Amino acid sequence: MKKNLQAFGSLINIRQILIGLGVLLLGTLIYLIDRASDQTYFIYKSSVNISLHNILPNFFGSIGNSLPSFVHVFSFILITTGLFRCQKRGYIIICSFWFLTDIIFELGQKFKLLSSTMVPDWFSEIPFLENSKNYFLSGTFDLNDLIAIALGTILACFVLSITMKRRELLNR
Amino acid sequence: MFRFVDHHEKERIIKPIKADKIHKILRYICISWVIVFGVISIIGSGGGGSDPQPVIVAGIFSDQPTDGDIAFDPVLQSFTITNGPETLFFGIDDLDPNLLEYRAFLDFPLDGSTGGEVIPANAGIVSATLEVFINEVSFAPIVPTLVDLVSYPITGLQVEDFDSFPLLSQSLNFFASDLGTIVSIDITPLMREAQRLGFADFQLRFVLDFVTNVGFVGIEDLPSVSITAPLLTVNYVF
Repeated sequence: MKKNLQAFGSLINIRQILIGLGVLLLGTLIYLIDRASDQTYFIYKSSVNISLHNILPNFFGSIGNSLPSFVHVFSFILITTGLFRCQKRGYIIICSFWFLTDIIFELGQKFKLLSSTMVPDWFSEIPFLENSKNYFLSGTFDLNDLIAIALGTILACFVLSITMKRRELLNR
Repeated sequence: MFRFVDHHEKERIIKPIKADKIHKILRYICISWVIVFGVISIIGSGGGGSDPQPVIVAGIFSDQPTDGDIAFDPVLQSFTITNGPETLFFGIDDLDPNLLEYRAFLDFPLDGSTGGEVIPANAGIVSATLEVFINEVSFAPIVPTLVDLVSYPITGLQVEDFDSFPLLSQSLNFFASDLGTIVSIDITPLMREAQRLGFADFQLRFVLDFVTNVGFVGIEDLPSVSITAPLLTVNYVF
């Protein structure tokens, strides 16, 4: 079992996963500190009051509006590539996947009617997915979010290239 | 052609293959979870966008002259159309020897043509509620009802509108206890569909559900009394 775990550990890139999780944690803080609890599904659905809004001062300022878009794409690219431990081609596929996913969801907020009608009605009975329609209808399309997604993807590619090079060096 | 493999050699060959497979499965499970969590986190957090848009609330009274009901006489096979009555009926009138079946129609202009509030054509509907004052519930303690999204001419109801194909339906029950009260009905799916279809008027038809043939309901619709007039309240973002 221990050997199995060790072998599994050698198949993943822990450095990438940790960077991804660390940045994701930072993104979570934006929602906990800077946003009112009724604006975030995860927070207002939580049985315990985890919001720090109005307890701690507004920490991220205006950059907190688009920072989550940056954080999301960046961290999920790193976590996924860390688990995949693939070559350059795999990295490009993963980067493209998360970039497109985030872009599609952001554009869905611009074309509210179209995107909300594409959400199946049975989603309303499933926790988390029940918020899909509201996400599109109540969310705001913001060009800054698109820029943030693009920047997050570019920075993630840069970090991947560094962590990949280091791994290659270690392997030598 | 054949090579005999002893027990120890067999273990050496099989074990790495098994471990490799387990690692692969584990990795794919982890990645699937990451993807699911990644997508859910966009939906659950609002996707990291800017502040949510303010929700605008619009209240629209029905266009009383365009409201109406149609009574079908199954014995004489005739229709009686009433435009703008003070009470809109739906269901089966058991007091009538011919057991007339009524269907009620409500019209809510969304373009402000009657002086009411406007719902912009590209507005996203968050929720929609209909309030109606019930002034008659007869012959059954519970009246199963269908509310259909329909389209009929604002110039007046026609015979075809009695049985026209509903664009979308939802069911609800009226109760004897609703008599003399305002009943609030969540009609969000119907409103979203009307908006999707780009209707200038949101039109509804009340029909006695086909699962029963007993029940008769009256909706008050006085020409100049706003307190009991059918009211559509729409929460939307724009």
